[in-house]
This record gives sequence, structure tokens and C-alpha cells, in this order.
Amino acid sequence: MRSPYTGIAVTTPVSFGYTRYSEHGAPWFLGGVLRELLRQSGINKADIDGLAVSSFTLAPDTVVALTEYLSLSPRWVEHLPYGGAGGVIGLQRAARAVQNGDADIVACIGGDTHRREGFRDLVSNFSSFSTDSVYPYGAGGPNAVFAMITRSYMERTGATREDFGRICMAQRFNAGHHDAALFREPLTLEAYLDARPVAEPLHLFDCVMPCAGAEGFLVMSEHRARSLKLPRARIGAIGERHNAFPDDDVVLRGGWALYRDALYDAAGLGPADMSMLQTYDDYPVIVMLQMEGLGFCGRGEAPDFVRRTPLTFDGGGLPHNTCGGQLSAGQAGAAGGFLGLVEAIRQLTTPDLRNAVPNARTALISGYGMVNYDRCLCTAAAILGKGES
Amino acid sequence: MAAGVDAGRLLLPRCRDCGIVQYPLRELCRNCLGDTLDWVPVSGDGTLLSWTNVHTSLEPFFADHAPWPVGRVKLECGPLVIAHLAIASPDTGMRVRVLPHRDLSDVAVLIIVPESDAAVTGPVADLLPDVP
Ligand SMILES: [Zn+2]
Repeated sequence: MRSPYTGIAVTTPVSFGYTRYSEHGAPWFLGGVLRELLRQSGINKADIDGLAVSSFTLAPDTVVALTEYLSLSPRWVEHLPYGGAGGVIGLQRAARAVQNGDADIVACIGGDTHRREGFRDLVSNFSSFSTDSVYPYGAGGPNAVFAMITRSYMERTGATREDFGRICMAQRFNAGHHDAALFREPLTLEAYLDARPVAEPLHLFDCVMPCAGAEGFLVMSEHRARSLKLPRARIGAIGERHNAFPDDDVVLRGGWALYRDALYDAAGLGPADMSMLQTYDDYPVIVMLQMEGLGFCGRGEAPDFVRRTPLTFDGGGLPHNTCGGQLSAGQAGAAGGFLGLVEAIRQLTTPDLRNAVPNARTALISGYGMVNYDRCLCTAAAILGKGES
Repeated sequence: MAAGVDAGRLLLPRCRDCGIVQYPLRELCRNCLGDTLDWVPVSGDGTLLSWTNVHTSLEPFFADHAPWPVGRVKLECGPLVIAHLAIASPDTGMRVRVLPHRDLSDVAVLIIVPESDAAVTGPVADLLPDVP
């Protein structure tokens, strides 16, 4: 059994700079998050001795170059190449560093810029397998791969477009109560169903809009957070698995099933104890795979689950992607892998949110990242709880 | 892959040690990690697992020819392949064949055709040079 994350505090949720296009470079966004982390926590820059960063558009630079750009001298750095699982995995690495004394205060930051012509370069060069064996076939990027996964899921489970629409509409409702989301106007079922096709069965509102932006949080000891008077969340458990089920021809599950029992055992909690679920929502079918993989329902049962479970922040069911998720906030590159985690930290540490989950005590956050060829390879999940104040 | 085009048959690397056929292309066997791979003729026969039509493409050619049909096939010889789809009425689970062709840019590409008819028809035909 993995050792527990005793004595670790997660603090200072920051969402920064969301905009459709930007001429700024990635360091402007990543450094902007750091500035906000320092301002909101009252910590001096010199006291940040750990830095974990996830970014695509920082390339060819890494977190190492960023230390010079931001004039930091950390004794621990981590570059996070996990895409949509980068936030949860960054939290795991940072928590262990603090537990082991390798760093005292770690800033975890994910973000990207989005230039008008930049997305094509990112998609066409995303991985060596995709450059050779996916991109040349229609150049649809991840849309084509996930369209084919979505079709298989619909054929196997009987899921309908209306079922996917329920997820998208609930998230849009949540976004209407979160000012940072780029899309906040309500989404009707008619508008969802009538949207133009992107790659059937995917239509416009099944797909995230690429944008610029960044997210971040701090990891430190509970003792330090208490002395700084920072509201904090604690870590119940974290799990991860990469390239799970490589022999599945049809991709209808991810790695969560392999560690969810250990995750819940370590936290002493089950799915029914979660105040909220924050999933990686690059496409609504992937939300369903996470609900199934994390035990909120059985395999193939997510369509029925979303038919009978309110997913809005205030609906009394399972509050899900309470800031609107990427489907409403936009996908700011690697920030997408931080969005749900930062929202969970915000829900557990910040009073008087307009989108506050009533009596929020616990959160399950799930990540899914890196389509290398025909599926995402990284999965991760974390359980957070409200820290004592 | 290009080597098989003129012969009209599919060539893929096969591990000399364990016999596993490799795709996407790699320099080591995905199974036993052996590095002796031979390009051998393999059957392009397989099963269509899923398909889509790409309406929004990042490349002008495909955007101009949208919607562009793409499919995913489980080959009998083992690998999973994403390829252009030249089948008028695709159906999950149908028997298909994957064959290499030289496209307008003289690059070898894989095309999924019906098991019974290797002719490339539909929008995908625009990808190929006119055969005299
Ligand atoms: Zn081998």
C-alpha cells in the first residue's frame, strides 16, 4: 500500500488569463499564475523552492528555462508531460517532495498560450506516432480519434446524443456561475442537437475550444499553511496508471479501474461520499468513461446514470465540473489538466463562490491525457478533503 | 510501406524473434523488444472497428474535401490501423481490406476498401493521382 499524504496542504487556487487567442508567450501565462499565487498567499518569491510546470507551448523550453525567465532558484523542479493528467500528477509529485523534505513550498502551474496559427503546429507534431499514422488521415487531430471512440461507445451502450448533451448543458449551467469561463450563456438541448457536425457523431458542443490561459496552486506542509493562515485542502489519496489495457482494440475504459479500489480504501471513502466530481472533459464520452472507471456507475451504465443524476453544482445530485469544465471554460492547452483540480481546491477553500457546492467536504478529481496514437495514455485521480481551519 | 505500393500489397515490419507485426512503425518489437524487424507481405484483411467523417480539418486539402471519411481497422495480422475510408456505406464489424497507395504528394498512405473490391471510390479517390 502506498504511504499516505499525511501533513500536506494544498492551497491558493488560481485561474489566470483565459482568452480565445493571445500573442503573449507561454511564460507570460505561467509567470502570471506565479504572481497571483504569491499575491494571494503572501509568500515571497524567494521562498518558492519547488516548481512543477505543465505546458506545450513553452517548448522548446522546459521548467528549467522558466527558472531563469522568472529568476527563481528552486531546489526541486519537475516538468509534467502528462497533458490532461498533469494537474493530479503534479500534485502527487509535489506532495511527495514536500513530505520528503526535498522542497518546502511547491508552485504547480499548467498553462499555454494560443496563437492564431499555433494549434495546427501543435496537433501536427503532437507525437511521433500521430505525426506518422494519424495526422495524415484527414488531419482532424484528436476529433477524429474521439469521434471513433464515441461511435463505438454509443453502439455498445445505447448512449444517445441527448445523453452527451445532458453533460454539456449541466456544465454550461455551472459556467454561468463562474465568471472566468469563456462560454457562459445557457445551452439548450435544441442548440446542442442542431449544432454543425465536427466529426460524426461529434458535433460542435462536444468539442472543447482551444484557448489561452493558465491554472495553478501551492503545495506545502499543513504546518506552514497554518502559520500563513491559508485555507487548505488535504490529500486523501492519489492514483495513476499509464497505457492501461493496451490490448483493448476498442477503447472503452481507461486506467482508473486498476486503482480506484486502492484510491477509495486509502481515503476511507467511496464514490457516494464525494461532494463533487471533476473530470477531464475533452469530449463528453470521456466523462462517461471516468464516471464508470471511478465507480459512480457500472461499465456501460453512464448514459443511464446521467439521465437520473443532476450534474449541476446546486442540483443535489453529483455536482460535476462545477466551473463549466473545458467544454465551457475553453481548453488552454496544459491548463486543461489543471482546471478540475484547481476548481476542487477553490470549492474546498474559498467561501461565497457563486457556484458553491453546498456543504462541500470532499472532491474526486480525475485526469486523462496524451493521445499518442488512438487513445489517451495517462490517467490519474485524486481525492481531496476540506482541511481543518 | 512505400515499397509495397507498386506491388499492390501491404508490407509491414514483423519481429524475427516473436513474429509480432508492428504498426505504427517502430524500430523495436513492441512485444519482446527485439530489434530485428523484417518488412514482409501481410494480409490487409481485417474488421472495421469504427469510422467518422472529418468536417473540420486543419489542412486545406481535407478542409476543401470535407467531410473526409476515416476509419479504424483491426487487421487479422494483429495491428490497429487508422486510414482513409473508401467504403460507401460503412458498418461496424464489416470485413474490409487495407491497402497502400501512393498519394498526390507521392507519399504512401493506407486506404480501407471493401473486402470484395479493391477499387478506391468516393472522396478518397481525389487523394490519388489519375491512373492513365
Ligand atoms: Zn518480438
